[in-house]
Amino acid sequence: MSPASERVPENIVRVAIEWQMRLRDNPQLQEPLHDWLRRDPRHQLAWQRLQQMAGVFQASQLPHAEQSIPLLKRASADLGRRRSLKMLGVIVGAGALATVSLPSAWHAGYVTALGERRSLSLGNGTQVLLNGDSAVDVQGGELFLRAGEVLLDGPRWQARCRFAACSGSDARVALRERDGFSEIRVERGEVLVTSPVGQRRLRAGEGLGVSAAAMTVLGQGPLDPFAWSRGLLVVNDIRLGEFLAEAGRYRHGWLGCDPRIAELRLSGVFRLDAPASLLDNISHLLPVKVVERTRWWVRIVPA
Amino acid sequence: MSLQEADSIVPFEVLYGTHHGWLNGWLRRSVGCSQQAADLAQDTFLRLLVRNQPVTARAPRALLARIARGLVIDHWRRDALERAYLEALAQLPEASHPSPEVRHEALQCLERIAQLLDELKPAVREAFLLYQLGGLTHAQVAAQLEVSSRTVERHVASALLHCYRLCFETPA
Repeated sequence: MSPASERVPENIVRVAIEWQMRLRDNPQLQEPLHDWLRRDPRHQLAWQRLQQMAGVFQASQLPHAEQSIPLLKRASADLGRRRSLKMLGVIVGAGALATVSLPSAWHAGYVTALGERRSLSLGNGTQVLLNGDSAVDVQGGELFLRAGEVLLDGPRWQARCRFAACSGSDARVALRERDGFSEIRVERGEVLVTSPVGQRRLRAGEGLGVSAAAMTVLGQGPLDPFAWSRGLLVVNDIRLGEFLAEAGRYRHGWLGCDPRIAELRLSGVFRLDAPASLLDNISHLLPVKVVERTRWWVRIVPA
Repeated sequence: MSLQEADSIVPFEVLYGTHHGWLNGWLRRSVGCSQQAADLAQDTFLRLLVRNQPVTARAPRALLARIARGLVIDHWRRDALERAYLEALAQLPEASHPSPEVRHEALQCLERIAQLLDELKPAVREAFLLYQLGGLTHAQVAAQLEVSSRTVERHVASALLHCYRLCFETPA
């Protein structure tokens, strides 16, 4: 729909809109509408343009209204939030990661999009880094992880995840919400973890999973839990299926894996800021190929 | 910079050579992904090229930033729609998922609508969507949103006028 040069006076467009709405309620109005259209070529132009525009909302490829309407509402709320968050970032921050300093006792929510990392400061020297697709609230200097993953680093801080409260002393700690439990990993310092099912003190190198029912010590997994904060995905002998699930956290769309190759293993260091080359790399490392049907619909199959 | 210099025309290659790195960095900070930033930077210069109007030495970065900002917002909008769409699909049994081609087309249609309705107030947008996409009457929309029928009519008419202006009265 290209903007045609001729401009129709606004009052005519308004009347044409009025006609369109009336006609939908009452098809009997065809006759008087035609009279109106015949009276002035500009009436016709405005009318034709409205019909052309209506096509956008009647496209046959559109999902059902029950699906489209909530979807459009959600996306628009998302977009609005991003625009306002980004504007905040532009005002107060510069550098690769905008840093936002928060007055204490101020309630603030932060979200990141897929593939985005964002840093903020809790005050008293505590730095916070949000991984992509994550959300936190900050209230009175305490951090609440609502979704995704966050890294805290500072002399003394308080943070809550879904199943536990953590209190760090000179500690660098990654918190991650997983399916049904919260994962806590300590890189440096000490953290006290408290939940309704118990209390435990963790030291550097230790990891804990906390669910509604239990605390479970986590051994070293195939995934470096802190590498993302340096923009890397570092894996050691990881199942391809698990690797793709992890890689999928940093790119858009659907990333599927043929079950025949899900058990293949790989190790390596991948850059998170280049999600496309990440997939190219695995096709060099393993006997697999990447089938890309659209940019956001990718499947890994046997080569 | 003298007045004459400020109005002199900058050849595209010079503009590209001088500001590409800066624009790339600016975009990387906005979208947080260097590959997407590189794509968007290319796109920005492409827009400038097809615009086919000479660029003067007066504030070329402001012009680049204005074009790029529009592209970043388009990018976020697409991204938000894709995510909302994939989440909506995740609620459905896999057997009823449409093919990737159908999804692609559906997303393009949704994007066009989202673009048109972007600047509308949420209440206006919602009334309009229920009327236009949902096919409800003014009275049905009014009942659902608990406002008067007259308010719904006003919302729908103002949304239509807004879309009309965007489609037919906004310079490309």
